[in-house]
Amino acid sequence: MILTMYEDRELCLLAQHAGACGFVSKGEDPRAIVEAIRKVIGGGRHFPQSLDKEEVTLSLRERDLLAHLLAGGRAADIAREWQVSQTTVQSYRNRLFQKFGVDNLADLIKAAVSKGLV
Amino acid sequence: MSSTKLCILVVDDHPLTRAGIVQVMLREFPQARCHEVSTLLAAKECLEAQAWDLVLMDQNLPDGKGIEFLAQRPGLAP
Repeated sequence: MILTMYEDRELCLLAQHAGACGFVSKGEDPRAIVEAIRKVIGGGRHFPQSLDKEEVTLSLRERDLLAHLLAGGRAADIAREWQVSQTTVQSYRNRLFQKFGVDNLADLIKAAVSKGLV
Repeated sequence: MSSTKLCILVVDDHPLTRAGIVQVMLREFPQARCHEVSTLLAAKECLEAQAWDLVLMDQNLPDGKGIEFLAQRPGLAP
């Protein structure tokens, strides 16, 4: 069982491939660590589910745009509120598409929901 | 598995971390026997000397990485 300071998805996957039965961050709640250890001692495996999903990091503006898009906001309205051009808003939207690996608004919303960002 | 026979090896180069882990282990598993070492070399010697029920290993150790060490020992995990 690997104990580490880092909650790192790559490291967690490496530990699984190396044959570890568990992967725990030292920063976790001690009770959670003990539960994970109990699970492994009982013959189970413990790898944090939160590290199973690839993380998407958003800037404050990207988060704001995501919230607007989820609420059905139009580019023109968002541009007016931000006091920028619609092209700038579209650039931010395209960046969101890129970060989530999607090419349309419906998939963006689905992806954001599945990653718990909404 | 009976807790009376639980052998736990703690591999971490920080003495306070090791002490904390051992303290928690003994509180949760009072009959366990905990042994602590600070390097992969010492861990290797322990693993060759006897069987362990649980090895709690830090990733960053002075003489290498815990995961790489584990990957070189496919028979270590149950």
